[in-house]
Formats: sequence, structure tokens, C-alpha cells
Amino acid sequence: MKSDADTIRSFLLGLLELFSRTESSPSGKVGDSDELPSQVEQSPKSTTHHRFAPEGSPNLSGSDVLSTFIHDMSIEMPPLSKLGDLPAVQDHFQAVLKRRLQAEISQNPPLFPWESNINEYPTELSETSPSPWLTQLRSLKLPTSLPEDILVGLLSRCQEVMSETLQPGIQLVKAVENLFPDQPQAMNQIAGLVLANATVRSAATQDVEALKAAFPEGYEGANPQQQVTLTMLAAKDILDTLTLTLSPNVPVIEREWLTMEGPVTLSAHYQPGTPNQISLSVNLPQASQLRMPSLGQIVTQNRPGTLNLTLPDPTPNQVYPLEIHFSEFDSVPLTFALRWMADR
Amino acid sequence: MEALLDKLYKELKQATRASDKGSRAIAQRLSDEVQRICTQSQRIQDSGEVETWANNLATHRLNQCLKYYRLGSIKGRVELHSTLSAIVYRYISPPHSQATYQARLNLIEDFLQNFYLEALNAFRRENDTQPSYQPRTLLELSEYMAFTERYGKRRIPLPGRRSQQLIILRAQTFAKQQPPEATVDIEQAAEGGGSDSDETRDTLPTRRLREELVAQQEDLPEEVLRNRVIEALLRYLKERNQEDCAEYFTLRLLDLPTAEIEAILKLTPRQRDYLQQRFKYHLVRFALSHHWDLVHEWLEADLERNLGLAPQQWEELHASISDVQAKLLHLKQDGVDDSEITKTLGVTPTQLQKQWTQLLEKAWEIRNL
Repeated sequence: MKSDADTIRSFLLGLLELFSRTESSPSGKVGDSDELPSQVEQSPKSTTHHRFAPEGSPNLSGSDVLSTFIHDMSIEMPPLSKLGDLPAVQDHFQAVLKRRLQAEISQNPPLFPWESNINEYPTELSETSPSPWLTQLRSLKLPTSLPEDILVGLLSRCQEVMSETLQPGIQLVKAVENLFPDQPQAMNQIAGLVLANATVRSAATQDVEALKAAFPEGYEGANPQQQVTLTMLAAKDILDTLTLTLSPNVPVIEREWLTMEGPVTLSAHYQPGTPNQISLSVNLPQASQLRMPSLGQIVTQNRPGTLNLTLPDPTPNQVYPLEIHFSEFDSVPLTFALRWMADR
Repeated sequence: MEALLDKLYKELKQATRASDKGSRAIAQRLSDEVQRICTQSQRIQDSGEVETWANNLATHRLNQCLKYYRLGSIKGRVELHSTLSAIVYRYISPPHSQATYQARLNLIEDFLQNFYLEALNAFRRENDTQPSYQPRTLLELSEYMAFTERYGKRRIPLPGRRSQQLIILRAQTFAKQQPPEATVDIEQAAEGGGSDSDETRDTLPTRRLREELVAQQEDLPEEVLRNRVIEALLRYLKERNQEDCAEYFTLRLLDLPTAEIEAILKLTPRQRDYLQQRFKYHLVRFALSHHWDLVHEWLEADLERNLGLAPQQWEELHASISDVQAKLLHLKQDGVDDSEITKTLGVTPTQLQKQWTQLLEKAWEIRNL
């Protein structure tokens, strides 16, 4: 009966023998050199260095030592295919291969059967009918697209903060802060950067293209600071588009917002006189309602076309919300914010 | 069992941003699956601890699902794809030709596309969803990815009390290298009996081995020992920051062609040569310092031969070791067994082993000066 020690010894010898063979090596001699490769001497953790074949000590340099000892005992090595099935080998092999494959697969992630392209998945489906306003947000010029639920939350939050008169930086922070309750310190700093960068950014769309490479795993793969930044850039775009600040120097402003039904175009025109007034003209792709709650004004139409409203004698610095509602959609309205700034 | 459903729901609510409705639906599906397994598995029924089993299986499923949820849509699929690719890699090779790394990857890609569809259909069938069901939220996607991993790892019984993972059987069929035992009706097994999916058992290599033990009585002890040596050697290499040696060792044991090993490890032939030599160096070190009593013997460097040291070196060794180590050496040479030595020296077995390894290292250095 073979003892455990025999088995282990035989196995270790078998391994040594296996790894002393040279035939598998396409580029010359392996295993019969007395010198260790220099890499061994540099091995980071090894504090002492050993050589294997000094005078008068057991010669451990692979094949020689084996020829001395192998004939004394029979090496019973199972075929390699059997060793490959051992759990220790299998588990380690899978871990090694998985690490190696991950790098390649993340360059080209697979699609699942129902997908035609890779998208972020929403945290939750909206319980009500889809919002017609999100089309605009899906085409924001950002290095990577934002998940749908973030966009929904962001649009609604932006419309809330627009109704207050706030510093641009504070407005940005307020627009995104409830999405990132863990990142209060990062907020102000990133808001500053986003504002400082805003003028440069619009002139350099190539930058956006270049930045895409920085988000190989999309929004979900970005770190929290990057997520805050992406969200703030989106918030900045939303706020810029929805806020119209007229003044004697800027008497006309035109805006466009893409919807599921087509573009909404809005033009606001300041007309001096007694009293001053702002006339609004909104072109709408479907039956709609236009409301200006602060004035109690509502205008409605049953088909696509243009609706007009007039805001008489605007109070300087006051925010006048203008709500657009599509009759066929049971969703919250899209709200623009109108402001009149008298020159000082 | 309402309690289990409630627990799953609460944990999903706490760990995700999903809605009540979404969380509840998934908690229900997970709970149903666990109940089904517990009812169908004779082993669980016989254990008398059905509730414990149900809780463990549910926690396992919940954690898998949350793992994918936290990774998100893209990282999650990379995780799943790489896990499954690594499992089937060995079994998928082009017919009638030498497999290369890249050729295998291309085939695996095709294979997994089919497999994802199969898993989606299995998910729909087993969860009684609409025939057109598809994941639409992040949590639903995570649930599908976790299910697909579990489905692939499901153990399918084969003749002779053995079993194999479903995805491996599929891969073998795909590569037309189907072994005869796979003629068992996989479909049937995948549906019912196979749902005693033993992922909790499979995660532990020793348990898996024990299962093999029952199947193949006579070869076992040696396999166990070899497995133990390999585990110890891999651990040894990792402890010494020799991960690449460990990787090379494993790939060689799988008998992969040299060129494929080089492709997997991204090495040139020359770098691979170095790695082989470096591995051999560590293998010898391992054999000497860790399995010293076995190996010193066949190296004629055992205790009777003063660890292979010349008289002057032997003195040098004594000069460089501590009192405790000197006593230890003396006792060892007298053939006192380790349990006696620990009592005599008042040390724990671990301390004894540590002292002894240090001593052997010193002898090893002196011998090689």
C-alpha cells in the first residue's frame, strides 16, 4: 500500500520532471541552465537569493537532480488531462481566464437577445404615460448618455429651481443635489468648474467626442464625481434652454425643445412702450395648451400650430413661468421661465 | 413562508432604488423558485432543516441579483460573459483543427449568444411570465443575469452518479465533442430534477471533490492529495507575489498548447521560457521549505545527513540559530515526534512549524553560500 508521503513525493517529482522538459519550448533551451534567469533575482518579495548548483551541495537544477532520483522510485503521474480536472486547477484556471477575458469583453460587451444596442436600464419604469419632453435630453451633447430615470428626475428638479431667483452655481447644486446625497463636498467645486467651462465647451464639440473615451462603461461605470459632473453638465444645458432672460440689450430670444411629437419653438419679443410688454409666440407640433399661471392666462388649440400670449408690463427680475401642455399626454407640463431685466 | 417573501422584499427595497411594485415582483419570483427547490429536493426534505435551506438559498439568490445590480448594465454583463466564457473555454474548440485562443473566443461568442436566448426562455417558462417577457429595468436585468449564471451552473445528473454543469454539456454539444454520457436527456434534467441546483455546494471545491469521491471510490485518495499539493503550491506562489508563475502552472496542467498559453498570458516565447524557469525555481523552493520532510529525504538532505551540510556548515548553522531552534533541531534528530516537541518546548504547533521553516531556510542559505 502506497503511503501519502509516497504519493506526494511522486507527484512533486512528476511536476519537477514535467517542468524540466524542454520540448514544449519553441525558442531554445529551458530547464538545463545552472543560472537562474535574472528575473528570479529581481523577484520583489524574495529577500534572499539562492543559487541551485553550488559546489558540494545537492544539485537542484532540474533535470540533473531528477535523473539522480527518479530511477530510485517510480513516478506515478496521472495524465495531464486528469490533473486539469482537479478542482484546484479548474478554479484557478477559471479565475485567471476570467480576469484576462474581462479586459477584452469590456471593450466589446455582449448584447442580450432582446437588445439591439447597449443602453442604461432605468431604475424603474414610469408608472404613468411616457413623458414627451425627454427627447431633447436624449440628444444632449454629453460624453456619455444619462440613464432615463436620472433624466426624468433632473428635468423635474430643474423646473423647480428655475422658479426661484438664484445664483447660477447655487442653482446647479440645487438641481442635482438630491440625486447625490453622499457627495455634498464635491458639489460646489464641480458646479464652479461646470460654469467656468461652459463658455469653452460650446465652442469645442470635439472635446465631447474625445471625452467619450473616458467613459467606456457609460454613466454607470463612472465614479461619483464624474456622475455629478455629467449630471451638472446636463442640468446646465436644461436650465440654459428653459430660461429666457430678456433685457433692452437682448430684446429677442428664440428657443427650441425637441419632443416626441416634434420640436416646440418659442420666441419671446420685448416691445418697449406704455406699458412695456413681452409677446410670446410658440409653435407646437400637436394640440396643446399654453398657461401663464402668474397671469391666470390660458390659451388652447386643437391642432398643431402657433399660440400667442402677451405679458404686459413685466416686473423686473420677477420669474414668469410659462407652461406647455400636450393635450394627448397625461404628463407634467414643460415649463419655461421668463424674466425681464431692466438695465441699471 | 410569507416571512421569506417579506424578507426578500425588504432587502431589495433597502438595497436598490427600485419601486415597490418592481421589488415585490422579483421577491415573489425568487421566493417561488426557492420553494420549488425545497419541495422537489429529496435531500432538503430529508435534512429536516427545510427552513434553513430555504433561507440560505434565498440569500444566495438575493446576493447574486444585488451583485449584478451594483455592477450595473454594462459591467454586469461583462462579469457574466467572462464568468461563463471561462467555464466553457476548455470545451469549445474548432472541430478538426488545433484550437487557438482567438478561434476559441469567437466560437464562445456564438455559443453564448444562443445560451442567453435559452436562459431567457427558461426564465420565462420557470417564472410563468408572459411569453414576450424581457427585462426592462435595471433590477429585472440583474435578476436575468443572476438567473442565467445559476442556470448555466445547474448540475445535470449523468449516468454513474456523476453530474455536470448544464452549460458545459451545452458547450460540448455545440463543439460536437459530446461525450457518450451526455446522451442523457438534458432537456428533461434541465427542467425538473436539475433544479436541485447545488450552487451552494458547488462553490466549495472540497465539497465538489467529495461528490466525486462517492462516484469513483478507488482513485480518490491520490486525487485528494494531488489537489492538496496543487492548492498549497498555488497559495505559496501567490504569497510570494508570483501570480504569473501560478497562472503558468495552471495553464500547463490543463495541457494547453504552448502558443495558446502564450496568447492567454500575453507572453512572447522567450518570456514564457523565463517564466517556466522561474516557476521551476519556486517549485523546488516550495518542495524544500514546505514539504521538507518528504523532499529533503529524496534530496539526501534529511536529518540523518545533517540537512546535507558539511561539518563546518553544520557548526555555522548552530551558531546562527536561537536556543529554541537548537533544541528543536536536537529533538527532531532524536526522532521525537512533533506533538512531544510542542509539549517539551511549550510552543503551539504553528509556532513549531514556523521555527522549523526558519531553521531550514537558514540551512538552505548556508548550504548555498
